[in-house]
Amino acid sequence: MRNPFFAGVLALALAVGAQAAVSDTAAAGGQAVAEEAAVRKAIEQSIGWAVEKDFAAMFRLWGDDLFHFWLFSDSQVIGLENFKKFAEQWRDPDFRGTRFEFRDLRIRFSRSGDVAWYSCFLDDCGSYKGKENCLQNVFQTGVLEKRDGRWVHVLMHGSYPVDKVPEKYVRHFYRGLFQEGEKK
Amino acid sequence: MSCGAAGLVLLAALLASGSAAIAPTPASAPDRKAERVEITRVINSVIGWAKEKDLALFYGSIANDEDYVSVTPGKRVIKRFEDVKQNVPFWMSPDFQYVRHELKQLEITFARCGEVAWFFCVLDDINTYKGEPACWENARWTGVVEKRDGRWTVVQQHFSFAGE
Repeated sequence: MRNPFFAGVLALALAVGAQAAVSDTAAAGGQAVAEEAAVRKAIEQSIGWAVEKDFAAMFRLWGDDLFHFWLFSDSQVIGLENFKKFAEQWRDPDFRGTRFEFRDLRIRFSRSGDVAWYSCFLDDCGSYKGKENCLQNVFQTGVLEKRDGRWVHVLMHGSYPVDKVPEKYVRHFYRGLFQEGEKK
Repeated sequence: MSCGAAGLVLLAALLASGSAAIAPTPASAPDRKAERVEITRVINSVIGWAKEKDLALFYGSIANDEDYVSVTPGKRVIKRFEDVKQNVPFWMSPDFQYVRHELKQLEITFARCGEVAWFFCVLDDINTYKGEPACWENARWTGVVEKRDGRWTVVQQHFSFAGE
């Protein structure tokens, strides 16, 4: 380049651009970590709210159009208003959450970054009239969407493995599982 | 403004306009009805591929990556696409025969971005193994689909049976 002025301007611009790119990457990385932490907290509080029993805080964790399948056949709930009715059972003063643990929690984000889905195993313990009872190894999956700056659950599905599958089918399909269990 | 400063401002403006030009433009308003039809087709294919034992149809319906998750009513959680292949010999065996399947009460909800959707339904998946019934009746099925490279793909799904 013959003109030293333009060469200098170009070099400066490239340096500024490179620094901006590094800053953007770092900022994006920090943002991703922050979003994952926010999603994780929303997932955990969807169960953990029961320790403090803050219903208003719990309802803010759900989208208006939520869908909910839990362990039992009466646990299908569609929509926040129906969920509020469903939640009435937890207002019993003899009930309170005691502890919970999410294991193997795996969160994935959509390419757009504003939807997250997850899978995990859950232990969920509560007490009724002072006696603790736990649901253990519930397999839980779900979807959250970032709406108006908040991550809210729009789908949650919890289940236990194998219950009504015909045994013959299970034994064949999951042969390895049974052989492994029988060896033990 | 000196010539040097003016040059920098001009260059910065050019760089800014260039980056704006290459930034992705928002998709036009999606044809939700058509998208819903296509998602329904993809969800159906996750089960219906077994009719013709069209593995390509099945593989084309689910995410072929390390993030794919599929939960079935057994103690089996598939956590990546490669693990799906462990079940293929069973499905492709002549002993396993598809009979029919039905998605009941299927509801699909789109994310605001339009590129992700989630669904729930109740599934009857009727098959035989060595002539004996091998069925999931009234299985609860939820899942997530994402539009990737123009195609809707199941990225996570969960089948279960409700306890009484």
